[in-house]
Formats: sequence, C-alpha cells, structure tokens
Amino acid sequence: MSEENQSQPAFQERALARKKVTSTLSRVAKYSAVRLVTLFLTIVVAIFLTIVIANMGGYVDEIRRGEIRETYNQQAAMNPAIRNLSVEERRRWVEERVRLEEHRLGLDKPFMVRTVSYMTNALTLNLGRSMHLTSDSGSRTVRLILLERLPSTLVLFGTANILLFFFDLYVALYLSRRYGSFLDKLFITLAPLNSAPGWFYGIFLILIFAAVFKILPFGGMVDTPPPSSPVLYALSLMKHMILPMLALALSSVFLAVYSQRTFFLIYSSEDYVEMAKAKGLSSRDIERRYILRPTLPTIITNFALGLIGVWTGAPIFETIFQWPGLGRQLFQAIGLYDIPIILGETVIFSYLLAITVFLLDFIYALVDPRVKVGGQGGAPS
Amino acid sequence: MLRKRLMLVFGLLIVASMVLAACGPKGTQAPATQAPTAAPATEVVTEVPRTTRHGAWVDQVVFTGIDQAEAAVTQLQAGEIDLYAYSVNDPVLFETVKADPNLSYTTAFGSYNEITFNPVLNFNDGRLNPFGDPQIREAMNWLVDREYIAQEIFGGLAVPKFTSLNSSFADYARYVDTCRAIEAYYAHNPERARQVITERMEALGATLVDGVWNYNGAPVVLVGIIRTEDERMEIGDYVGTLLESVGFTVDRQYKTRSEASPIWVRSNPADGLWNYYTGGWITTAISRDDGSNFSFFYTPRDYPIPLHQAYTPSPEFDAVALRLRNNDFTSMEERGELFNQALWLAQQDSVRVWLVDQISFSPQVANLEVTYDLAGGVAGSMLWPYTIRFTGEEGGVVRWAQPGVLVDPWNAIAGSNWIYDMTPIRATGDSGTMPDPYTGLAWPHRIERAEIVAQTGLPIARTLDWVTLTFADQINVPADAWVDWDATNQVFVTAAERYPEGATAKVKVTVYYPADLFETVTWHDGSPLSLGDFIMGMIMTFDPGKPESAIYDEAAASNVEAFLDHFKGVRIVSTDPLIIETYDDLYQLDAENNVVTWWPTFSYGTASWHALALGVQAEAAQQLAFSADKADALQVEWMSYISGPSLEILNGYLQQNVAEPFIPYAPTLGQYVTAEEAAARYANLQAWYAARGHFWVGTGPFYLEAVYPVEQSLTLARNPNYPDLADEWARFSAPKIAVVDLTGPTSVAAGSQATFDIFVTYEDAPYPAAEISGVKYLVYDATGTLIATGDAELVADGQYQVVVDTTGFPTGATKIEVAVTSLVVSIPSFDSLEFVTTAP
Repeated sequence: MSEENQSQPAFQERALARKKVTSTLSRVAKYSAVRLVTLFLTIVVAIFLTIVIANMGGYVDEIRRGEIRETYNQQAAMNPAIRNLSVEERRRWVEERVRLEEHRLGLDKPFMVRTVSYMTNALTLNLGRSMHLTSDSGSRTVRLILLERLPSTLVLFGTANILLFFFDLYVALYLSRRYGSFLDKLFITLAPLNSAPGWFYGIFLILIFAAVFKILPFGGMVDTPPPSSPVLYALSLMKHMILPMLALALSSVFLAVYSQRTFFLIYSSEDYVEMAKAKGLSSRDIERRYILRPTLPTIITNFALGLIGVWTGAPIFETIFQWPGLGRQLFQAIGLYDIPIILGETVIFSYLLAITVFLLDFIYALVDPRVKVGGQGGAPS
Repeated sequence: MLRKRLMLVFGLLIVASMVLAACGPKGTQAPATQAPTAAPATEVVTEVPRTTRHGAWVDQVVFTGIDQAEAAVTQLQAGEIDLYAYSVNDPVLFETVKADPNLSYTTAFGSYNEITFNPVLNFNDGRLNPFGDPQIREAMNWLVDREYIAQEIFGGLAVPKFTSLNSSFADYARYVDTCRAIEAYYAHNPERARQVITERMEALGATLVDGVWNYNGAPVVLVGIIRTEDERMEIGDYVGTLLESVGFTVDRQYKTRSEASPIWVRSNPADGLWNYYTGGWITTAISRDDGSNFSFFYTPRDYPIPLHQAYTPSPEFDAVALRLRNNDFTSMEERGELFNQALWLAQQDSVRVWLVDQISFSPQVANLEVTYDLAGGVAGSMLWPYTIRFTGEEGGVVRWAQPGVLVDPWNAIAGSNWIYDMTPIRATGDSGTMPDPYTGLAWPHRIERAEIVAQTGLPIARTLDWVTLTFADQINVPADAWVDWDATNQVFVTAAERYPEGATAKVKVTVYYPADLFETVTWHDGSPLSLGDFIMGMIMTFDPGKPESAIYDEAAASNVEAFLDHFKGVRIVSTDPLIIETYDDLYQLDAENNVVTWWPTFSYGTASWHALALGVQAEAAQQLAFSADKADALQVEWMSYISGPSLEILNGYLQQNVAEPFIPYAPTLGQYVTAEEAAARYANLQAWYAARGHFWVGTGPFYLEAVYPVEQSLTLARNPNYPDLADEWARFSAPKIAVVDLTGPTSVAAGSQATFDIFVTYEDAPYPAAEISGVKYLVYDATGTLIATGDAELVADGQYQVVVDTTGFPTGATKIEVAVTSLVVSIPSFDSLEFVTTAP
C-alpha cells in the first residue's frame, strides 16, 4: 500500500470532519439567528404589551390630567400667596402650572407617538428619566434608580436563592436515597406549608424574634445609623438578612425538596441506574453520573430562571422587612404610573430572560450529549 | 402506621395554627361608643425648665423609614424606636397605644371629610339627578348621622363637622355661636330628611314605586364614586345605604384617587357619570382665616374644574362669599356678620355636605416630649427640633421613624416638598418668626420686634404685644425701595424707576433684628451670617422667574408673577442692626402674620449665599436644575445638596470658587460681600464637605450629620453653636385646652332669671382671664332650635356667670351650652347642661 493510498482515507476523514464542523457551525449559526430573531420579537411584543397595559391603553393620560388639575387647584387653595390672588390671576397660575406639568409628562403629545418613543428607547436600553420617583440619592435617571436598588435585592434574594438551591439539591438527593424515612415523610408532610408566601412567614418571624425575643431586627438592611466600619456594616447586614432568608426558606424549601426528591426518585429507577447498582458502583458515583447528570438541564434551568427572577424583587416581602429592593421600587412605580421605571424593569428582565433562554440551549448541549443545538428533538425542558 | 398518623396530625396542626393566627382579630376592639376625646395625651409640662445648653435638648435624632403604622407601634412597644411621626387614624392601634403605659401620643386635626354632590339636575341623557335640587342636598344634612360616622367608622378618631370651618381653627372659635346653632339645626333627623326628599322628588316628577323612586319609568339610580384608600370606603357605603333607605337605587363604584379623579374632576357633570363622591381634604397648617372657603367650595370662582363651573350659588350667597374671599369688609364685626350669613347660606346650598373633622394621632414612647402642631401633628410642627427631649434629660438619641426618608432631592429653592423631607429640613434651618403651634399666630424668633402700618379701614387686628399696629390713610412706597429685579443687569429695580408717579401699599412692615445678629448666628460650616445672605434671598425671590436670567425657570415664572401682583417693595433701612421695611398689598387679618422677615429661609429650606452660589453656577451651566420641571426640560439631574450625582458637580464649582472666589450677582451682591468673606466662606464649605460629604448648611438647632440614601436613614446632630438656649420654646410643651364646668338649676320657671356658673380651668387651676377671648352661651329648646345666646360675665380668673332671661321660653326640656375660646389655643371648649323650663 502506497503512502498516497494510505493518506487517502485520512484526507477523506479530515474532509468529512471539516464538512461536519462546517455543517455544525452552519446549523448552530442558523439556529442562533432564528432563535435570536424569535426572542427579539418576543421582547418587542412583551414591551409593547407592558406599555399598553401600564398606560391602560392610554386611559392613564386621563387619570394624570385629572390628578394634575386636582393637585394644582388644591395647591392654589392651600397656599395663602396664591389663594388671595384675584380670580383671574389665580386661574392663570393654575393653568400655567397644569400646562407645564402636562408638558413635562409628555401629555401634550398623542399616546401613540409616545408609545413609539417608549418602544424605541426601551429596545435600545435608553431607559431615560422617571416621571415621579427619584433614586435614593436623588437622581431621576431610571438607570441609576434601578442600579441603586439592585445590590440590596441581589444580596438578599441572590444569596437566598443560591443557598436554598444547593440546600434543596443536597437534601433532595439525600432523601431520594432514604425514601420512606422519617425525614422524608417530614418533608412531605410539611410541603403544604409552602403554599403560604414568604411575607406571611416574615410577619410571624418578626413577631417572634424581633418583638418578643428581641434578638433580631424588625427590618431594614442595616442598623440605623449604619455602622461606619465596613466589617461592622457587613455584620449588621448579615444580621438583618437572617429573618428574611429564613422566611424565604420556610416558604419554599419543603416543596422544592419534595419535588426534586421525587424527580430524583424517578431517575433512580431507570434501567441504567439499576445496571450501575448491579455493577457495584458506589452510591456517590451513581448519584453523580447516573442521576444528577441526566437531570442537569432541568436543574440548571431552574437555577438560571430563579436567579434572573431576582431582578423583579418581591414587593410585599420587601415591604414587610423594610428592605430597600427593586420590588418595592416597582410597586411604587406602578402606584404612580411611572412608566419609564416600569418599562425599565420590564425591558431588562425581558433581555435577561431572553439571553438566559438563548444560552440555556447551548448549556444543555454542553452538559447533555444527547442534546444537539439546532438538531431535531430540541432540548429537554 | 402510628408514626404516619402522628406526622399527618402534626402537619395539620401547624397549618391550622398559622391560618387561625392569620385570620384572628388584630386586637381587642373597643366599644364604638367609648370615644376617645381629642385631649392630648402627652404629659403636660407646666414649669419651664432652665438650662445652659444651646441648640437642641437631645444630641442626635436618627431618622428611619417604617411604612406601616402597625409595625411602628410594635417597634415602639419593643423599644426599637421612640416616635412614629405620622398621622395615624387606626382606632384599634389607638386603643393599643392608650392601653400601653410605656406609650403616649400626640394628636392633630388637619384632615376632614365630606360628600360632594353633582349639582346638575337633568343629565344630558334625560336622567334626573336629585342632587341637582338644593333642598334635597340640604336634606342630606339631616339624613347623615355624623356621630355614627365619627364613632363607628372612625372609631372615635373624628368629631362631627357641619360647616367648612375646621372645629380646631380660629374661625370656628370666632363664630362658635353660629356654628353651634347650625349644628343644632342640622342635627341628625332622618324623618325630616325623608319628608323633604319625598316632597322634592314628587315636585320634580318622580314617583315612588314599591319603595323605589322612579323617573320616566326607570328607577333613579345614584352613582357613588367611593374612594377606597381609607375610611371613605365605609363612608361611601354608609351614605349609599342611607340613600337606599329613602328610596334611591345606588350604584357603588369603588375607586382609588387615580381612578376617581378623571370622573369627578374632569368629566362634565351634565354627562352624569356620577352623583356623589366621597371627598377628603387636608390642611397641614393652622388656618387663621377661612374666609375664602365659601368661594372655593361653593362657587365656580376659585376651582376651575367642570364640576365647580356647574355650581350656581344664590346671588346673595355668591356676593357674601366674594366679599369674604376678598376681605371686603372694614372690621371684624362686619366680617362676623358676613360669616353668619355665609355659614347658613352654605348649608342651604350644600353642594357638599361636611361629615367629620378627623383626629389623627402620632404614637411615641411615654418619656418623650415634643411640641406638635394642631394641624400638622409632630411631623408638621415647626417647633419639634426646639422642644424634643426625653423627660427631665439633656442629651440622648431620639430614634425617629416615619413612612419615608429622603424621598426627593434637597435644595432650598425648589427641592423636595415631601413632609418626610421637610421634617428634618426644618430642624436644620431657622426662621425670623415662628408660628404658634396652637393658634397659628406668629411669634418673634430671630427678629426682635416688628411694626405694622396698615391702610385705614383694613380689618387687621393685633393679638400679641411683640408687634405694634397702627393705621395710616396712605402708605407711600419710598423711591429707593426695591420693587423688582432686573435680571439682565443683575440689579434691583427701584420704586422711583418703576413708579415715577409714586406708589402706595396697603401694608408696611418694619422688622428689627437684634444688634448682635451677625455676631451670634453662624452657618453650620462656621461662616458667620451676613447681610449678603439676606440680599441673596431677595435676589432669589425674583431671579429664577425672569426670562433674562441664566437660571430662568418656567415653573418659577408664574410664582414670581403672582408675587409681583401684590408685592410693592422692600427697603433695607439699616444694615447693622438690621432693619428691613416691606411694602405689600397682600395682608392677613392678624397683624402678627403680616410680618415679613426676609430671613434666608426659602420654600424648601434655609440656605447661605455661598452654598446657593454653587447651585446657581451649576444651573446656569445647564448641568443641574433647582426644580424638577427644569431638570426634566434640560434632561439633567434635579439638584440635590445632600447626595447623588449632583454632589460631584457642585463640588466642581466649589473647587473653582475656592481657587477664585466667586460672588454671584456681583453687581448687587458684590456691594454687600467682600472678596475676603467669599474666600473664607468657600474654604469653610470645602472643609464642611470634606467632613460631612454634603452641602446642606443651615443655621438651625440641628445640623445634618450623615445621609444614608439606600439604607433610608439620616442623622441630625445638635448644633452646639446655636445662639439660643434649649429651653427657648419650652412654654409650648402642650396646648392649653380649657376644661369647662357648667353648673346651674335643673328647673327654671319661664319668665324668670336663671343663673348659671361657669368654671374654666387648666390642670385644675383657674384659666387666666387674660388668656380667654370669649365665653359664650347658647340656649336651645326641645327641638334643638336656638332660643337665646350671649356672652358670660367675668367673675374672677376662671369663673364666669350667665344670667338667662327665660321670658318667652317654651316649656319642656331646655339645654344651655357654653363655649369658651382661648387666646393661646384655637380649640374651643364646651360644656352643656339640661334643665326643664316650667310654666310661669
């Protein structure tokens, strides 16, 4: 066999491999493009719906006009300097104030024109300025308003989500190995407790640990006044996080463990797991290679979606604990029809969700060899 | 198996206990009939404590935010906070606070409720609106039971209200006899209401079919716009039920302010989108003159919304309302007669039926003392920084909670107007005069005294002796008085330039500052107060509203225009000691409240010229803006002197000014400020900023020590350099509300003279006669009709006597009521006695 003959199959293999790579790249690129366009269109629809809903299809303009007129007329009535003006002067004062405020809020432009402007700004992440709310430090820039509250939301909900995620995972695996044990039954029994939201447990925890035992703070992020030393500040922050995290744990941990443990149990009874057991593999290896591995896409999905869910905060929960987070901000913004802030939070959440969903497709393919990006069958959910 | 069952039972028990706990009552509900009185709960301090301490009594006040009143009371009980500075209306919480010996409370009376009616008789679609008929509206006064609303809906935290006058303010006390007569005449009488409504509905062409009013073959449906945020929801329901009881069909529409506003404020009343609305109003300062109420609430004149444009008051009422609005009378007696007419005519018009004056409370720990305002409560009190202390102590830290902290940016020109911001802002500033928290009359604070000259015939009166009041036929504005501002050349326009032919004013006020003013008062950064601060204040009154100005603000223009409408001039008579004259056409009925001091406190805080200079520079460069409106127009930040992106910009100008001292408005201010003073001031401010991290510099008893925006907290610390002692305002520790005891015969023969004794006390001591403005008596017959009235005779301090001539009195049950009004507190006190009038 000549050298040329020997290199022919290798060349063909390389060519085949190159073709395969090209084909894969082409498939991934095509898939990515289609997916990105689809996600973008979804974001456009989501933002449009947010604008329409937050503005009640334009009716909020009527509400605002009524409020503005009511506000300035009452100001005129309460302010002696204005109240005692002549009738004409007073009316002129009111009308001028109303005109300026309507102009400031853009009410002198048609709703549809503003909708287009809102859409364009939101999609380009030009979050603009709020209508009423200011950031804690006094800025009306929506970006600053959101960014100022983001760390406090992240530190509480991010920490809680991560800790609870690993705790749930560990306990669920543990219980799946001890099906029918006392602890297993305890978790199952207590699972219905998670039908109550976190703020519900928060009230009880505050009453018990703050009002009665006086060992933990009622709320807030740190002591008042906040400690000047960074170490003391961190310790104070941790102390203030105990009750909220406990409330979050009580409101989710039993159900999460129960559902994951059930999930693992299903996988535990697969034939390949039985085969592994028969081969005498250690239970640790079985868990890691035969149970966790195939369930990873689901676990990662839950984890990723849970993390980006942090962005929206939790209005009632944050109110109960006086936590200066994004949830309370959004709640206030909705109450004041502060459209730029509502839109700002929504558009960032939409982008985060879209990016996460997009990346998850690739992560599935990385962690599970059965999954092909852009291939038939799609990714497991 | 047993273990499984135990687990199940255990789990169910936990769930059940939590559900039960959550669903259970919030606390023990007091019987609704046991109404709390409006009397203040704080311990009264009668002795003025003496001290050598300057500034505030306490060392620090730490502000924190608590949204919910329930949470605040729990934290008060747990000792986590000392005060919740918010007007709470929850009767259950009120009971909780009253029952706790470690807690106390203060009260305020600023909010009130009413029912607003749509006054159009026939809607555009042909429907009949019964409230278009004045007599049916008037009958609603008899239909509603205000006592029920006060006791059952507000749990006692309200008092019945029949007129637009707040029962805790000056005009109610002035005209208490008319008010009480109205209250007796319009007392709850559902039968009378039903009778009037029936007569009028039939006259309007409606028919009662099976107990339901029909018009043109269809039931008369009344749409009630019911606000849902507070007790107005229950009021709306209650009124709806009453209307149903007299035959109307009611469509209750529950709405928030935002949802209701387009309907009652903006819709055309003739379109008939609503028939009644649950109105609510708030006053944050004690009003000394409610003369404009009638024009505002009952005529189309002062509230240019479609609803008010549909008002058609009788010509007589309209004329009286207009005269009261414009102070078109020459004496308080004439005003009293106009009020008497207006109050009765308003009831006959009744486009709104008044229901209750609310009593709100602010809870606190029992060992805390603080002066509160009768209208604004603790948070609205100007004196809280000067009086807050722990009983018998000097020093300490007060933990102050309120629903919000650091809501909007702080700047003195057009910054935050939130009460949550203004409360700490007031503590850092000072003022020329101080409003009395119990009467609304001004007292001298930084100024020493004042003289008022009023045009002859104006109904201005003096109560306190720190001000003098004289009258002159004509008040000429001096040629050198400043009457306006030339923003182009940055100089004041004089009267001679503006009014070559001369100008007059209705009132001239001369204020005298103490001789040592500029030696004793310093800004928090250590800069001594100077005349420049006053001049800057005068400039800033005009400049933002002038189109030629570098800091022109469209939003300020209308205010300046309105100001110039009545302002006639200002003149600095002497620079040291400082004496300033002000000429104006706008006047108040109380001489004390006409005093204009020009102290450098602006609408939203006190500010020095050098701190303001930074803001002026930043706004002129369009990097920041004082007002929210202009900030939005320029797409820049709303200026904050305490936090956020503004600080860096302001600091940039500070560094620039330190390097090269800058005097704003140099053509004018440069005449009063030297380059050396400017350099020293900017150096002081630089040191202050380095130490405190903000530019908020005032002259008040507290300075802003630290700001924590994200943590929603701020700290005020005592200003040790404050010129006054801590006890300067200690005499205002509690309102001196009189206690009245009326005694007399239980049976009187008609035609005889009956003598009644009245004892007026405060804390069991006779109420000094010098502090009593009037003791009036009113006698009602069995139907509640006023049959006699007059003034009691003074016997001695705290003792008065009434001799009633009962000639012509009908036989039967008779009631005599006494109303005592005070000069030192605007809340009148009452007592009554029932006796039987027998045949002669």
